[in-house]
Amino acid sequence: MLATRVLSLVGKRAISTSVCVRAHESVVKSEDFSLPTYVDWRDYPLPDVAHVKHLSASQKALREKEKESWSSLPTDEKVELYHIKFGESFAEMNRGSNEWKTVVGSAILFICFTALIIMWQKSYVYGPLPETFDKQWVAMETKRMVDMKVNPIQRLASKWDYEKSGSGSGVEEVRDAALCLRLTLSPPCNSMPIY
Amino acid sequence: LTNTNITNAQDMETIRTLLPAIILVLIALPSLRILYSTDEINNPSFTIKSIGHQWYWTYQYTDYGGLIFNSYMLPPLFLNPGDLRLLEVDNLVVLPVEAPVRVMITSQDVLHSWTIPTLGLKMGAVPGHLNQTTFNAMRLGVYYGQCSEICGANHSFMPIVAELIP
Repeated sequence: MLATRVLSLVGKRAISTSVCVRAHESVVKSEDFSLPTYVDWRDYPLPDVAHVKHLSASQKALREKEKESWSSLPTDEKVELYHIKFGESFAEMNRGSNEWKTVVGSAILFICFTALIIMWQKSYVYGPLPETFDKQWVAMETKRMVDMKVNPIQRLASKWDYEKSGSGSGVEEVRDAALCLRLTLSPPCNSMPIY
Repeated sequence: LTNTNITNAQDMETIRTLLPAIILVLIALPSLRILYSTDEINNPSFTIKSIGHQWYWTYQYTDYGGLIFNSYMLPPLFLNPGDLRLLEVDNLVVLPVEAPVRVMITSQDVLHSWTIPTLGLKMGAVPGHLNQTTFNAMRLGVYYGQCSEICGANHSFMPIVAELIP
């Protein structure tokens, strides 16, 4: 509004909202993506506006000097001219950071915390496993499954040697052999708890 | 969309719509016939009825007399050493081997599903509806299955055990 009054000498119609905003340097009004902005993005190499909007006296002098031969410009002045137009160089905007360490570390931390919770649950929340998970029981169960020829084509009974096992050996040995066979299967095929 | 190179090809468009449609119909009709022919029941020599309840099965042998019994899962405390937990039942279904058997399946209350994977059987038990499945088992043995349609709290605890005898 102040800008409107100040510039009313020029004529009210010359005033626009964008001028208002640019003059006040982002004091409320429509400072959103409707106005051109400066960005340091490697896939947008030529931003819509210059980095420095209002040149200081030295910068203005430098701009005048730029109009002459560029070979007379020393390196630091060239860099300063660059930084009038652009904020960061490509090397600066593409620099790596150590953020990945934070991310990986936090992820591992939370995974470890979850593991602690699972260990606590196993110790204090879960009841005991049913007696059907006892070694003796599983051995008897597996022997019964072998007798029933469970999975005769793949997995359990297909791996049992019906001629060799059971002849001459005691019941316990046969059951242990059956248990060993069951444990050679990978979880969950062997139906044994993993923790 | 107004380029003349991509407009006004009605003849070709008609052919390329009708021809695939005709081909698909020619594929579909025999396919449907085959699909229904796999359901054909060929003179079963034995029929039982299986009725699902919450949460047990009732079996009826009505071919030769009227044998009816319930089949409940054995709780872990009642298992003999070496039994399979959650799979053993008190009364199992005894069926003949090397004979076509028909199983009529229905339910008394909610949806269940009578399943024995090793015999390739799965049929829904729908209340008020009678489903049928047949099989012809070639191997003796005890076959286990579990209810395969969610039916309440003890859905996991109503197994099916079939013993096939000569």
